[in-house]
Amino acid sequence: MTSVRKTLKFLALAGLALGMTAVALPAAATGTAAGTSITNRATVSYTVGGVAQTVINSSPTGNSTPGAAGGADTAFVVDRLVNYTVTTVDTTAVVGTPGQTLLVTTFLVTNTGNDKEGFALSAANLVGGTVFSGAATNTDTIDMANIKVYYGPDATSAYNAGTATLGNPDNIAQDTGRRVFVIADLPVAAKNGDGANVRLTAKAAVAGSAGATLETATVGADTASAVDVVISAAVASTTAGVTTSLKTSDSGYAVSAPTLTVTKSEAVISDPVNGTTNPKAIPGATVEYTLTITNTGATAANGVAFTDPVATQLTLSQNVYNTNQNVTITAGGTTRYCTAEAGGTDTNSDGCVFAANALGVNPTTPIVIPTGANNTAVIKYRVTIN
Amino acid sequence: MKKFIAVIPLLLASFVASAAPQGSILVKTVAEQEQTVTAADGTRHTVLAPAKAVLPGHAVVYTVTFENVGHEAARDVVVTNPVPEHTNYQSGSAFGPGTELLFSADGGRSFAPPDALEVRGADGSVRAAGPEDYTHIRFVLKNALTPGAVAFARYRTIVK
Repeated sequence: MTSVRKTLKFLALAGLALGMTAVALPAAATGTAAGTSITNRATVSYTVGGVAQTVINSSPTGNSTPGAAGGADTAFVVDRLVNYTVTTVDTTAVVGTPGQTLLVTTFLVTNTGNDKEGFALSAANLVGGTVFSGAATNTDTIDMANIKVYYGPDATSAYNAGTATLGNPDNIAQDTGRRVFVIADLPVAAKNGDGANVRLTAKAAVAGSAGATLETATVGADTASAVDVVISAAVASTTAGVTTSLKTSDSGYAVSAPTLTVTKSEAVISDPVNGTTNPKAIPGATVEYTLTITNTGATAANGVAFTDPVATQLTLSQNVYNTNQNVTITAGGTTRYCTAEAGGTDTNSDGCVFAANALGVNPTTPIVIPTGANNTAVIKYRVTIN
Repeated sequence: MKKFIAVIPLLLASFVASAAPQGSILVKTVAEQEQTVTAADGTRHTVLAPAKAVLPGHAVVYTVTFENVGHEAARDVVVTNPVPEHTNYQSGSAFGPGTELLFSADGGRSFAPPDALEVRGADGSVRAAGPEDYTHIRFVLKNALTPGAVAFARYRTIVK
């Protein structure tokens, strides 16, 4: 052994005071699982009077009993670091129409600590503000209804009613993500361009407690033999000296709807005196009304219907257009006709009727007003002045 | 007469060595963490304290103290520490006054200074060993440990 020592280089040990300098080390994203026991036992060999002695192992309090199997481990348990991220998977607002139900915004909760975690989830409407810019702008103007939170089976699958579970995920392993879905309804009164933003809140909970027991930072000295809880500063939330965790992410919905404007014009077609040459609005004259309905919204209007009051000094004309109809409807480049019966009963069931001093048009074949080139519907009918 | 006296010390020495019921060295290993403590006057100090909230990425400081509790000087004192599982040795952190520092990267079969340590890769190529390859840390006390003397060695590991 002496000869070996002579050939080895001797290190300058003075510079190794480095061991005492504090080094800031970031906690690893994953790492040794919480609860792992890390043990250490040193072995000392020596000679007395030139005679090799039986080795002596270390113990936490000091051991001097020789033996290769002697001594005791110096041990401590790796503690639990609670850390996670919450992000939204949506890159643009989720578009819906007024009254549409079960619209889905998608989030991802990823456990970046070193132990399995459950999460207590909740979602709520935001008030004001903008989450997404771009085509589907959604500055928050309205609230969603019936907000519910579901979680999916993994980190990558889109929402599927068959695999989504309502409630709190109870066991997400370290370094694992899980998709969370916030599902809600758009109110019927929503208008084109309205936006509704929502916020998902996730709090880490002890795995197995169904989200009921929040992870709480251990206060006081470390217990070497038990798993203590440390909450990463990235998610820590302290109230009255008690630290739990909280992280949020926002997403939102945008309303795409038709926007209809109506203009009404009139023209005197004929009168008893002048005929069709410069007719005047005198008793007995025929007047034609034109209703122009224009859709300036973002989606087609389906099933447009209306009632148009007719002054009591006027009488709705019959047998005006086509074969014997009295209302023309031009929409989507085609013209059709219906008959508004004077007696208040829609006897031919075509959806048009004159009742309660108003022309009611609600055709059984719905009027559709799209956006873009053909975004106008024109309705005409005639009356005579009493 | 002189010859008679000269023999006795040798006999006594061997008798003591073989009949020692207890070893001559008390060996203790503690695991601690560096903590920053703020004194009453606002100055901050770094102290070693029992490990508190050990997490992946944290450093643990091991201190081995060895004291000669016997009546004879102990020589060729060698302290060998396995690098604990789930940790990596922190490069440059080992020191022990009056010791020579060696490492093993082959499970304790052979030891060498850090810049002479090599490992063999799976493809048979040989490269210099890095701190994450170390399996053992060894301190060789250069001088004898006399009765009552205490020496210590210290090193840091990082929890994976």
